[in-house]
Amino acid sequence: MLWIILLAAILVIALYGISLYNALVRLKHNVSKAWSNIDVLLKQRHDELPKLVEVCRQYMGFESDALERVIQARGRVQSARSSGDIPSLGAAEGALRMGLASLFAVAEAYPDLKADNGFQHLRTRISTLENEIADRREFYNETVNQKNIQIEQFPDILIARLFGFKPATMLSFSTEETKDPDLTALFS
Amino acid sequence: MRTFVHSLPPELQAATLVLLGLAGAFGLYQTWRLLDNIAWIRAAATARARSASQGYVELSGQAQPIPGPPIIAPLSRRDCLWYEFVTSGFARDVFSLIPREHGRSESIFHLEDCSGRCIIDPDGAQVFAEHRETWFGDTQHPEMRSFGWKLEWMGWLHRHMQYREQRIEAGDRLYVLGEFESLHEDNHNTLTSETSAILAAWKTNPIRMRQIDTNSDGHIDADEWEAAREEALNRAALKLHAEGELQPLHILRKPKNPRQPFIIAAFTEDELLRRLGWRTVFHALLFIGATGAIVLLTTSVTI
Repeated sequence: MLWIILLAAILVIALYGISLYNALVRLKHNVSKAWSNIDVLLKQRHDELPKLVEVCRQYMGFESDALERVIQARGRVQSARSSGDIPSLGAAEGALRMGLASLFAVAEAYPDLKADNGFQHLRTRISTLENEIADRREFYNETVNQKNIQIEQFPDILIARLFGFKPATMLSFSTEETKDPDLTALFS
Repeated sequence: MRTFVHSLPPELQAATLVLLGLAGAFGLYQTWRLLDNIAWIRAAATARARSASQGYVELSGQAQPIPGPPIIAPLSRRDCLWYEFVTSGFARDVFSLIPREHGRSESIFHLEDCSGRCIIDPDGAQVFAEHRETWFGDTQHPEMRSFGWKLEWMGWLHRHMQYREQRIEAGDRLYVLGEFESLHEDNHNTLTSETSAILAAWKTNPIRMRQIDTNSDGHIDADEWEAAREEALNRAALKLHAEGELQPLHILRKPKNPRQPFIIAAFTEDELLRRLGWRTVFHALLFIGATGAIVLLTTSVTI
């Protein structure tokens, strides 16, 4: 008789184990989804940047270092994106943001460029995309953090080890991003 | 207990076993359902209303009303954002509660977090409200508000109607898990009216009209007007973007996938998980207890 009650208790424990496994699978997919959501915006911005560069070139010519930096950083972001290399993407993204900040600062010295409708539209569009990327990066990191904590805590760790769930990598932009552009150097 | 059941007529013995079987099956089903809900909650990271991706998301913030007529809870007459109520009659002869009336608000309300707002459509949600009250009276609908559960439970002794109500009120903490969607209909309206305003201003400006008349024939033809309309649209979009008025309308509702739970709770995620955890333990014990009782009885009862 006791064994039937034990069987019922084992069934409940098995259900608990299944729910832990399901939570880990969902977390894994949530990390992928959060990454895809960033990737979509990176792709959109990637497509907008050449238009911005083209508009700026019409007014600035080819002499601006800021333009060159943006073009190079865009290429680095694209290559890190396509290879799925998150640490490299973080560094490239930081450089691109720095380049864009410099570009917009330099644009202040060109009143005709500032007044250009196309430039204004692209600037607004890219700034909006940047804000959305920042928000989604925060959400991606939150999801990654949740997954990494969950696979290391008991009793999830038992299921995670049994089924080979691996920690995910956070996306952190390089510290360059947080520095303000050196406006004196830019206009010298 | 075994002796007591053994002393019952065979029909009652069978009924006892059926009831225990149903209780066990209910306990097992609820255990699995609650564990699955917990798994969904634990797997979801909290998004922001402004930037949440389309699909199944978790949001956290504060409950806020949507401008319009107030929502009044039918039993307590309190101003709220969402309510659910049940009135039951207490039938003394069979010592049971008979459900009489049940109602649930389907009005939408806002969730506000640090980034923005999202409309919550509570239709079909499992709701865990903070304000829950039970009180008693003699009439079909209560004549006065609850005095608090301690005093009111004493009413159970001499009153024959029970009123139960749960509410979400403005300012309550809110946790939601459901299908998130961003709508752009309002943007379209805002953009159209702004574009119309710009075009109307141009029509009264002769210099501007001459600029629109690119072939200078004194008439604005369809192509010229279309070009002007496009320019006005671009200007309107730029203006609204700059003013921050082009905001999509976010709504969170019941997921299309029936396996994904739709949860609205006036608690923090940790508090909700703790409550669901205790419910799971209760139902697991119900299942194990019912199974044990069936085994205990079937070893001695012959039907």
